[in-house]
Amino acid sequence: MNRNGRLVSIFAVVTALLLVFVVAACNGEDAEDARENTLDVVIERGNLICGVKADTPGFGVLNPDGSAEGNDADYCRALAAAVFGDASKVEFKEATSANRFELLAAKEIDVLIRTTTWTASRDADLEVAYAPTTFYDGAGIMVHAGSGVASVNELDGSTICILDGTSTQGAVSDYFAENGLTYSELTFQENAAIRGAFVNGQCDAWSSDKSQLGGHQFTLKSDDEADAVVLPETLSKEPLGPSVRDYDSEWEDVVRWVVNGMIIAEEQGVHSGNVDAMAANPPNNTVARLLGVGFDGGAPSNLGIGHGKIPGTFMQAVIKQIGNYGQAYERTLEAVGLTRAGSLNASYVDGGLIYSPPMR
Amino acid sequence: MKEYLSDLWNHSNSRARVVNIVVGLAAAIIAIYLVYSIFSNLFDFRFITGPYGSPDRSSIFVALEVEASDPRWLGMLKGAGNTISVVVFAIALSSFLGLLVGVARLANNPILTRLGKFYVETFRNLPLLLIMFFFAFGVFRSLPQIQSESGISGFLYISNRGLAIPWLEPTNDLWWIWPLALIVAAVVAMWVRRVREQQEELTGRVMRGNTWGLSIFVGLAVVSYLALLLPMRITLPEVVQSEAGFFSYAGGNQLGLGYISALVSLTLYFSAFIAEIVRGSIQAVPHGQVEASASLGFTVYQRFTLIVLPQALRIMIPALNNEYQNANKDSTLAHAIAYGEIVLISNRIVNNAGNLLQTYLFIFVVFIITNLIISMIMNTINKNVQLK
Repeated sequence: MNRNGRLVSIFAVVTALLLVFVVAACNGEDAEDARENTLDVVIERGNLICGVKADTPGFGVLNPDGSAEGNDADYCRALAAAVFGDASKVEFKEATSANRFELLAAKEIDVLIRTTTWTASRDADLEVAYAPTTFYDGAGIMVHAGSGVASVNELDGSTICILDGTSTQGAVSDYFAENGLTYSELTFQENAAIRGAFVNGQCDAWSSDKSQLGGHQFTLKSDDEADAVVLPETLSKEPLGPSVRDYDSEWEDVVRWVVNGMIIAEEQGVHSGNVDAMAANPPNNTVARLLGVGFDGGAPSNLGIGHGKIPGTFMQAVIKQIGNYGQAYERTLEAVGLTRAGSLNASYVDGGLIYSPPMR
Repeated sequence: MKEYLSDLWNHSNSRARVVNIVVGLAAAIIAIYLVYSIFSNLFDFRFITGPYGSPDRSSIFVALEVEASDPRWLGMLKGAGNTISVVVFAIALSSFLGLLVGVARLANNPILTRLGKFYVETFRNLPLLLIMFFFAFGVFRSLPQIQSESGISGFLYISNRGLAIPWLEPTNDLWWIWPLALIVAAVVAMWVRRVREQQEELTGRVMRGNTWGLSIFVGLAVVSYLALLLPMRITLPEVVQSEAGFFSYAGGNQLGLGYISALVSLTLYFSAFIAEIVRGSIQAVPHGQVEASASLGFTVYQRFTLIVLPQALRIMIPALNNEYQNANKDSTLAHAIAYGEIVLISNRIVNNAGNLLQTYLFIFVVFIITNLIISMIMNTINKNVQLK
């Protein structure tokens, strides 16, 4: 009896295990639906964790005390303002070009805002969703001013330094192959290593996104190390913007419409200085919907962003604490010499690409 | 039917079988489920046929340079080839240097001993990555620039782009037969030498095994070279300037700065460890052996090469195996100094395609295979030198 009892219990355990696995196997497809809603997680945690770049003036500079500056960091703060009404409720985490997507996939960060190019393979293969582009960039090439080179097409036979693991490598490779030019590539893991190589003549040219080259050109000159010029050609499309995990559409909508809202605010002339007055007395329906208030005594329209988990007036907090698209750009990117006027990053009204779908 | 079922359960033989079958089935289902879920979610290998995307020319062999259009799997294989091409030379050079330093540490000359100690303590106590940075970003970067054409004009050039050396170049499609012919010639020559030496030992007649072996090797090499219509020739490096004014090396072979830095760093670092192994193994040979050979009239050189070293070899080989495997694994650090070894090449794939687990699995496999090969070679040598 005793032995039988033991056998029966073994049998029961095995059967139970089998059942569990069969059920788990059948439920495999449902697992995708059970993905976490990041918006809920962020609200419950009480702060936003944002992956930014640590060492790029204008975009992301991480300070030792945990604060961050730059355009990317500003969008992190704007998100915190939208969710909590308080732009300071954000924790910055360094995301390198090597670990950024792992950080996002492992849910160590809620959103990645780190000069990350929107590409098809990242969008599809890496299961990343991209919010609107906040900065239109492109790969460029910088040479020593004394070399007399005026165009990328004159770089046949040169050696080019590139940061390893970036999409710039592919852009340069494609451009040179298309134009029948040869080159040697020298790659390093850090900008500091490239800088030394460029200054010492290990490479003739330095390729990176143009936004970055501007900063490097500036510091090379100010440190009196080299006089460099950025060549006019743009070798690739590098639209940079925030990215979140796929299958997380509520959170994706919040990220998308905070960026769009800042663009619309600029189009409508709403900025941090006048947002309170505008909210009290909106000049038109577009501004009223943007700020989540009623127009002309009417009831505020419900856009459904965040499904009521964040206030309908979220853009008021964003604009008041961060400003509109142009204000953020001027504060961070103009400061490092990235002129907006006439570039792709001008508003569509001025011939640029910065355009938002309507908020209604 | 019911009786049959209860019989199955009530007889100890059949009951054991029933339990076995059920448990076995359960285990199989669990295993299949786990393997299926791992493979369906993580082990999607379609990405390896995509193009690599950007070129890498830091290899020392043209055949191992990664082209942008290469499929990713080929890129990874070439990366593995680049790892091997630095590790093989690093192991050979560090063994040679380690032997010299290890012996120097036991010399009677106090200056030599101290120099050896200083060498060992310096390189053994520094992190390998730091040594690599020191050479790649410090020493070699401050070499003259390429346009200064420094070096031995028309023969060898050195600059902070790398080292350009004379090299062999195939002149026809049958060139690859010649290295094979050389291997065959070496095997035949060694066999003839051995046979003649055995005869000499047996009969006492002078058979000149070394001379015979060498002449056969040289003879076969020359004959096969002529028979293959001069398959290879030496090319000399030169500094050329493109139309746009950019300088580069042409002809010969170019050892990039990444390769040289990796090779020098690995050699210095591991020679320090090997020197200690050599010293310890020599000291472990009983002193009586030296005294006995001295009393038999052996010279100092003969005592060392014929009595001490062969016995020390027996002791040092298992420890050397360790160091060689470490050198193989630590060569991955060279990805930080722009040498296109397997980790650097794979990281680019991870960055473009995102398949980290699959790519790193490939790296694991490569290192397991190469380390097992090192082990196999060392174990074979070990077996041959042990007392039988």
